[in-house]
Amino acid sequence: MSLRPNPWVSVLYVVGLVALFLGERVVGAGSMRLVLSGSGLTLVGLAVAWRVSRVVRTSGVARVLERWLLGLFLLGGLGLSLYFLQSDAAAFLVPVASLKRRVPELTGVLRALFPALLVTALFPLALVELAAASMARGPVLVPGRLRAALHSGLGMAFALIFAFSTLYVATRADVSWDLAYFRTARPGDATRLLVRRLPEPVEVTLFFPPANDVRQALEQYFRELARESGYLEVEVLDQAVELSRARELGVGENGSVVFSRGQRIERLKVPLELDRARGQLQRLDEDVYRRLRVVSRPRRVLYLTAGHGERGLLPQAATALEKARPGLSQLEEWLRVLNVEVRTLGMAEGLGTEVPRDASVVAIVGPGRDFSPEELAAVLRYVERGGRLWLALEPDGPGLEPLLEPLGLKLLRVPLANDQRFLLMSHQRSDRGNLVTASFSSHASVGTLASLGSDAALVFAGAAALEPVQPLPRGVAQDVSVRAPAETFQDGDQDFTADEGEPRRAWPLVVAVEKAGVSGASPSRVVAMGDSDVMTDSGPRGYGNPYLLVDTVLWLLGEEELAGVVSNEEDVPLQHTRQQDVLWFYSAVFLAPSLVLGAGFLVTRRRRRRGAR
Amino acid sequence: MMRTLLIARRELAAYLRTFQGYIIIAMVLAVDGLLFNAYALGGVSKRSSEVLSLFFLFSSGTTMVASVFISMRLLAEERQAGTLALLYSSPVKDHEIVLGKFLSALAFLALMTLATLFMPLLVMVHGKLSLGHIAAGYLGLLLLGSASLAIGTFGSALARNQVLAAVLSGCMLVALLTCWLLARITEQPLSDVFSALALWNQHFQPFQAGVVHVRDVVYYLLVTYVALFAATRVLEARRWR
Repeated sequence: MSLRPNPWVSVLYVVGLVALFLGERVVGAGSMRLVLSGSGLTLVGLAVAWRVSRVVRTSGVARVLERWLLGLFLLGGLGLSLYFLQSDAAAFLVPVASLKRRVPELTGVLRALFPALLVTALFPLALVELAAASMARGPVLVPGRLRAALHSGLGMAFALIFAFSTLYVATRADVSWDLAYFRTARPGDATRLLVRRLPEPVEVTLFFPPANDVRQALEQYFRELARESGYLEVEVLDQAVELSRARELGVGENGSVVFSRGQRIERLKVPLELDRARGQLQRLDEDVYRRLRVVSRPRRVLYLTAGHGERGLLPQAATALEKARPGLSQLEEWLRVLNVEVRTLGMAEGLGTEVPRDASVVAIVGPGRDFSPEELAAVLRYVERGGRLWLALEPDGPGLEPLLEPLGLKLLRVPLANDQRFLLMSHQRSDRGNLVTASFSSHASVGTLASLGSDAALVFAGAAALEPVQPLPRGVAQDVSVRAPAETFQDGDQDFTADEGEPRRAWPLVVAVEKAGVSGASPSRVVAMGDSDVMTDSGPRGYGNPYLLVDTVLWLLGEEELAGVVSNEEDVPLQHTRQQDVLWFYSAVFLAPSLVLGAGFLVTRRRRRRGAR
Repeated sequence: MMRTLLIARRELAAYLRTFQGYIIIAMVLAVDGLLFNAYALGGVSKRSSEVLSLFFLFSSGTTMVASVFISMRLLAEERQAGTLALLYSSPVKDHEIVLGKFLSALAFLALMTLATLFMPLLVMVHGKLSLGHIAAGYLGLLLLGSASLAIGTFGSALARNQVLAAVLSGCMLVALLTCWLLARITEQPLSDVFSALALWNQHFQPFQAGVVHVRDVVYYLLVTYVALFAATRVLEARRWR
């Protein structure tokens, strides 16, 4: 007797497996699991029994088909048995449980085998049933077609098993490479200059264990730096071996870099693991520069005037009368790197009578109210005896004419704006007040900026121009070190639009002044800026503002020969001007696609022409 | 192999000799550029590595969508136009047809993806970028694109017309993409399986951050292999269906 192929046997088998899956994997516990798993097993059993009866009742090619299908059913059944052997249901089977205890890897093997067997059964089952169904209306079954389907299904199953096994091995034996930005800073120009001008030998002692990645990075850095001067002596020690030397330098464990000159000792802690040390290695040059300055140069004091609404070190929150004001913590940070201490100077500290004798620089940053005549007189006396003054003014602040006039300067109290080259910060029209300029003179107070050129543009926010008054007072020499771009206009009505009567010019923004000293005193130095925001924390990173501050301080201190770039490999927030923003937008959204379309047009047109010929 | 390369060359030439191929590249570039400007560069200023990571995030989306559109025509178009029978009758094996068509689509996708290279390079103007990060991101994009194209090829082999091929491929991609959701609601060891299967969540994010894991490379290659193997089986099924 020959029976027609019946797909419902396989459907019953698959429904049983689905019920088992739901019972074991979705429900997982309780009576529901019993019901689902029990009925699933029953359905699978019924399907196998039905298939056996069909094998018995058929003959010829149909019998071959039924045998193959029964074989696949049994293969799936074997998979199910292996599943139950590794599941909690196996607890009832004492011998197997003890075997699992003796061979703990057995559970893992069973867990990998049972899905493999199920896949090997189900894929060919599906394809053979499909092949049989396509021949259901035909007079006979073609064994070749059935065999091809079986092989196809087995091939798919093996491919899947191969893929899962390979992925499992790749996950277990994973190797990875972190290619994101990481680079140990190399010695920057400023550090190299500092080393070249060391007045006495400085010892650098690295305490690191042998064969350590961080040690290698540090050794490479210091080896390069030591080439600049014979006064820099670098030594690498293992703290565990050189205990007495470590104790002498106050080091208790490895992971320290000690800078010493006589009794002056500075330490730098660096983690021993490369992953943890990354951030520090990226700004290593800055850390080294700071410590080298501390051990090799005397500490200086910068007095920051207070009591007239000036910018302080800490930011000020907005009040009902005033908007929020950023602080000068970034400037303080840079000054700390230069071994300059910041102190405040107001009436309480004696500004009404005299500027302290230990003042290396006096800075007046963004005052909001007038100084008293006594205070101004004290500052003037300080300047005349060779003092160093740093003025950063605002259009809406006091003019400080008594200080500016003897220097041949005048503050034009009209804010500047630029409608072509400005920095986008708030994406409002007021952004036009954020002037971006790379117009520098060759003066020492902007030496680094001049060497970097447009790579280190400055950003001034709400600046006013400083006008040199001609003729200059006797003994005064001026240098307009920073100018605004030529299209900058005076925005009298503060609508950020160039109206008539609002002239466009390359307005002077920073002026460096040298004035001959009175009665044999050394010449005084003054830097006047038409904006105080350029010094505050609101200044964008990635621009040249920090170089302006550092070079200005170095010039005021008389150490302009040490001006240079400190190497820093830290990632920085991206900020771009309106012009760049527009350029990037049009190039990305329109220019590149247009070029592709243009190329496509040329290629297809040429082809059409060739075809026409 | 020669026959495979011959098919690949012929198919690639078909992309580049018609204006349609250039329109696809231009559209992908425009969408990538728009997303790059609006989200990666726009808003509050971000670090260069973050901008680059966002660029690869958006590009992965456009790559997957483009893969569906590129692959939908591979075999379905032949079937729709009735030229598949001609291919069957030629002395070319099924796996050579599948591999040749897939390679041509992959070459086109690679060309399209590499055309976006100027965007990460723009970040270098002000930012600090490692070329390794860019290379890792593009390797990820190419592998993701390769896996998506292979799935699309499988969809195209199954479907009778191009629209159905796109729908089928899209469904398969979404199913693989949402595996991570299944991993969250299932228990171990099934959750591990779903998690390992997720097309984007687990395997693309390291590339986006500039980290290359061998396991992720292997995963995408395996997805490509299995999908192409399945597509070949579908073509072969004519013998027994």
